[in-house]
Amino acid sequence: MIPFSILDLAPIAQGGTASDAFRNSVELAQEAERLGFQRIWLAEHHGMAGIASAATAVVIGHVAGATKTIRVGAGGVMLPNHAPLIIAEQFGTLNAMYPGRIDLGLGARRAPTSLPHGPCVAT
Amino acid sequence: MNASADQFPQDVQELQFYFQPAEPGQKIKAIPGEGQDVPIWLLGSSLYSAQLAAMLGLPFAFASHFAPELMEQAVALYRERFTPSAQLKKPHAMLTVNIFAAENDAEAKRLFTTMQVAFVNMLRDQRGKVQPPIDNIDDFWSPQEKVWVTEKLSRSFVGSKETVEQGLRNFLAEHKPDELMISGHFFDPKARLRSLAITAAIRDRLN
Repeated sequence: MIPFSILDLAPIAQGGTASDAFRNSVELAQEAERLGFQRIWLAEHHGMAGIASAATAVVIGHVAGATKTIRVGAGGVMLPNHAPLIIAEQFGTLNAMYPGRIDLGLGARRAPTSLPHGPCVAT
Repeated sequence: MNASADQFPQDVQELQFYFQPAEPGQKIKAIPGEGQDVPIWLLGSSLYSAQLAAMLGLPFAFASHFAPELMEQAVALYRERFTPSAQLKKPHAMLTVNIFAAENDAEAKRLFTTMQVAFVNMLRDQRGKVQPPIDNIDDFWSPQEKVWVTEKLSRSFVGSKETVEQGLRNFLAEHKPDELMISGHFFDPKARLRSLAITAAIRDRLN
């Protein structure tokens, strides 16, 4: 069978806090690891009352530190929000801490209008 | 911060450059970062992101869990245009779906209302914290909201182990993803762990 993986938004439930959300994400990641899931990704969202993973690299570090083998990554980092150098440093740091376990998924938020080497079919 | 997403392909390539071993005399370096093997994936829900991932030879994750409209076209285009890279020799398409698995279909449908309510609230511009499940979603959404949310969440597998297994079996046979990513907004983290365990059991039975 193909690998199965998990996308987590570190959800903040009604009546709960961001601290609760991170405890739940760690528990989810540990259980996913035990059950043989391939990777768990956290997503960058901002200003959402129900999502605690805005500082995505920080949360990835927390989850990777609480697990041993499962891959942990960004699903994704919204690259237009950042200087590429800063993201390389953040994920280089994570990969130095947790070698071979870190993935870097990148999103553009919206589809750009052209490809680097030719026209775009559609967006 | 870049004002324009048109800069995106250049930014991806700049990021890849920082992960390469530094060249002699290279002034700007990512430390830590240079020479490290951090796999880069492209995420998207458009044909644009599929083409860019294909062109750069990167793994591609499609957001079918909330924007399913172009999934089949995007994956076909990605596989057709894929060019091998140092990172990846053949295309790797990951599809994201929502799974709400529970003891029985009724309980799973109830859990799913948390995500349906969140999407209705997004339409109403009333975003908030993750809400408890409700008994009857038809008391909550309008017919128009139902149509929109149902379309957005059409790649969701909701039910007992048997129901979800049948749905996943058909989905995997039809779309042949290289990897499946599982999402879903749950109110109760224990219910999410239970759904995860059922999903793992289904995965092992699909072998």
